[in-house]
Amino acid sequence: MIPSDHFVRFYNEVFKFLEKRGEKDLRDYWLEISRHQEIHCLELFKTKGLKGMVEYWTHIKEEENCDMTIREFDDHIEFEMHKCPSLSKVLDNDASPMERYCDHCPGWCIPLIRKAGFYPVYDLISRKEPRCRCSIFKN
Amino acid sequence: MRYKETGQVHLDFHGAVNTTVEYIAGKYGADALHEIFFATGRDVYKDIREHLQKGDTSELLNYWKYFFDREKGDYEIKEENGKIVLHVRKCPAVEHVKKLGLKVSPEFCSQTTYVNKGITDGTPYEIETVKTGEYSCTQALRRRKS
Repeated sequence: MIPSDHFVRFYNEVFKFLEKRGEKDLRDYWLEISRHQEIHCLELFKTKGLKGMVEYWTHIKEEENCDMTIREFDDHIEFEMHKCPSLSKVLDNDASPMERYCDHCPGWCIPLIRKAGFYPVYDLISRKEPRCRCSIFKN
Repeated sequence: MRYKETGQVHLDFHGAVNTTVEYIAGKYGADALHEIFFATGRDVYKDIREHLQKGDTSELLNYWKYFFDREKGDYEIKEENGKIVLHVRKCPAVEHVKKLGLKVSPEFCSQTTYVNKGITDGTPYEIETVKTGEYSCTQALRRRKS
């Protein structure tokens, strides 16, 4: 059993494998994650909109021990990740990090959020620091 | 121990492993999946592997105990005929995938077999991993026959 705590280090190895196969292989996998996440999120995001997204990511924040601030406004929401637990573990790793590890997050989130009818804007800041920002707008 | 996570345990990641296993095995074949698990064992668990190279099994045993306790697995570690055997009676990973309502991939448990092969690569030890039931397996650590 790979402990659930170590999933992202396995994920990092999956990304390295796919990157060697080619860009399309990597992007197809992110879209597969996105389709899988639709089961948990799409209805919630469509029916509750930005409130539904806050509900989902508040749950993730607690479950995945994220140091993150979520801000709500009338027409948009903002997530500010101060310490991403996922990239932190990939960097704290005896295996080499996949250089574009962070890209999987917008890779699956953007298609899902767009499908729900909203407009996300990502700022990854740096792929070597475990922090980023994302704003999601109604229109 | 090299990785000793604390805080909440996010067991849903076992579901993500199952989904990934289905995707990689379905698109690239079981050998590709085994290659990824082997690399995970060899590189992510380099510290355990280096201890085994020196004949020190303590890091592997600590790792087994820490994470099976953390995920509330039903298991026992026993010394049997010169081997150290991990008996997993109820695997928390398989249990959680089923709890999520997912069909457990036929390749799901190959994570254990091939991560174990990677961890012991280039060491005087090998781990014989045998699935004994839907939720159970044995992992027997022993010195390789020379």
